[in-house]
Amino acid sequence: MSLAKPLAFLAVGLSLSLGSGEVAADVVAVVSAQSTVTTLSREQIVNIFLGKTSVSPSGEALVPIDQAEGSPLRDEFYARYAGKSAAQMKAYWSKIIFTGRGSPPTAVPDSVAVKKKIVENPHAIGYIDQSLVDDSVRVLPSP
Amino acid sequence: MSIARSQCRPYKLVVALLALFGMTSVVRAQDSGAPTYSFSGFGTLGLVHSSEKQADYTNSPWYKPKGAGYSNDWSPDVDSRLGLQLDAKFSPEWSAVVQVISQLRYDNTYLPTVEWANVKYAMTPDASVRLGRSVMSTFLYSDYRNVGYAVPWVRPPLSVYNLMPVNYNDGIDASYRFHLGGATHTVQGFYGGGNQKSPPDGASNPDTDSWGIFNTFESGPTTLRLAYQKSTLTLNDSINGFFDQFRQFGPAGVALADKYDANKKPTVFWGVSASYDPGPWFLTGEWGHSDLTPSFMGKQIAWYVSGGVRMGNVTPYAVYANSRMLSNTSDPGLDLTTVPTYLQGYAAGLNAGLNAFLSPTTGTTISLGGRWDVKRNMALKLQYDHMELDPNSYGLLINRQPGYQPGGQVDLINAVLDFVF
Repeated sequence: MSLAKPLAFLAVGLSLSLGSGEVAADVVAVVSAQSTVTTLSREQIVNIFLGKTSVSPSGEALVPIDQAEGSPLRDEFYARYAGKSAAQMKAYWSKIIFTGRGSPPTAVPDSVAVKKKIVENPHAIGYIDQSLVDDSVRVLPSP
Repeated sequence: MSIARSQCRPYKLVVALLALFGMTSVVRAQDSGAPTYSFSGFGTLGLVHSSEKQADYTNSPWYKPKGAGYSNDWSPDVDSRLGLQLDAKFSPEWSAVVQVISQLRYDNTYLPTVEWANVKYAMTPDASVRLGRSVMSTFLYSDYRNVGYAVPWVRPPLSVYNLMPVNYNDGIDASYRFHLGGATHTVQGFYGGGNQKSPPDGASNPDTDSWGIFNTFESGPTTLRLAYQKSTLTLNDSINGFFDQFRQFGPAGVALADKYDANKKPTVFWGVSASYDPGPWFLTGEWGHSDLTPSFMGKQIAWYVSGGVRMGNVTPYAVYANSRMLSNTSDPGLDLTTVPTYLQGYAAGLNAGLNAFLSPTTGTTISLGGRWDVKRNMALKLQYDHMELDPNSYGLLINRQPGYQPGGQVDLINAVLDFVF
């Protein structure tokens, strides 16, 4: 009895922590429902967020919208899409900034703010919590 | 004739790049408004200990007056620095950047120097021209070697990165990027010159007619790079003044001075870099060939391979670096039998000086270290370096004392805290 409760907590905690790492559906890359972009590969999405390109393969301009540094969804997005940790992303942008080659994407506080940006600008591309997907955005296939 | 040719080439390059820009037509994202400014910075607090007490180890043998070993048991001067940068964006096309760095410089002070100062015009997001000062990307990490946080090690392998003693360029530089499937291909070219100041009195070491082309291919975790760089280098008067003394000794002396001085001498550099970084681990290697003949600096090749494994916030790594002289590392100098008796002592002294200049700097360095990402913008690195110097090599050590013995082994312990903000 006295042991069952903590063990149950541990089990729930373990399943939660494992779950957040494995369930592939938490973060999704999205464009505006008005966008002519219907599909992008994982590498194409990463290249846009890393500033390596600013257009889709078919030539549509795309403006990446980031989430604030330190937000868990941001870290998950870069871990899953780019295979990079928060520190690796920081190192990447340090290299770009301090050689005058560019600046990181505009960052907004959360998924709701990303959706707002996407509604304002049909060229915007972002990533949001999957539970916030509605008909204003188009989900790009996840990796 | 040769000057006209070397001036002509870079202009052709610029014209070719401009033609490329003209052909590009990419839709630009609309994003305009008032100018925006951003301020950022980086820094390193470092301490280095060397087992060699009769000479100094430094990360910048040409331009720093002291380091670890002879001057300090634990030297903060090898890696410590602070950089501040102001970016201004006036429109999607026009932007400007100024970066100043405070680090130990030729005059033994930490007075800031301007590392970058240029205005950039981006015709498209993929094509841009910069006018002003920029740092040449001779190697993979060259143009951000001071941003320790963005470099995997305490510092890029010195024997390789020191192949070209020229750091920044005042002039024009252009970059064009194109895409092949998921791969990005970037061609960058520059033309201009510079003037690096050396200890102790800030003597000038100008390079002119400098140009280069860098070709970078990036696809997923793979980066491949080719570099070619050329310039005309003149080292300061105290060095060339030494070689001028040979000119008093007739044609043989003039020939020696012409062969070994560093007065308007061509420098040619080739480099190849490859890196594979899928995330959980990385592998990087670079190879460089520098030809600074005819001058005492000679011709050499240097290369390194390095790998590391990212285990959460900790990244242990290893580096193996090697450098090798391709040109002669000694010279008989003046034939003393042809020199009048009363000048023989003086001539023998000049010969000794010449051979000191020709001494190799080469050897092998093995480094073992670890990076610990303490916070999102801060990393602590500990690194152990073991240098095995070639016979008679002084391994880029400076302030060599009379008791210094070349060609031995040197061990370094390095600790740095890198940060960006």
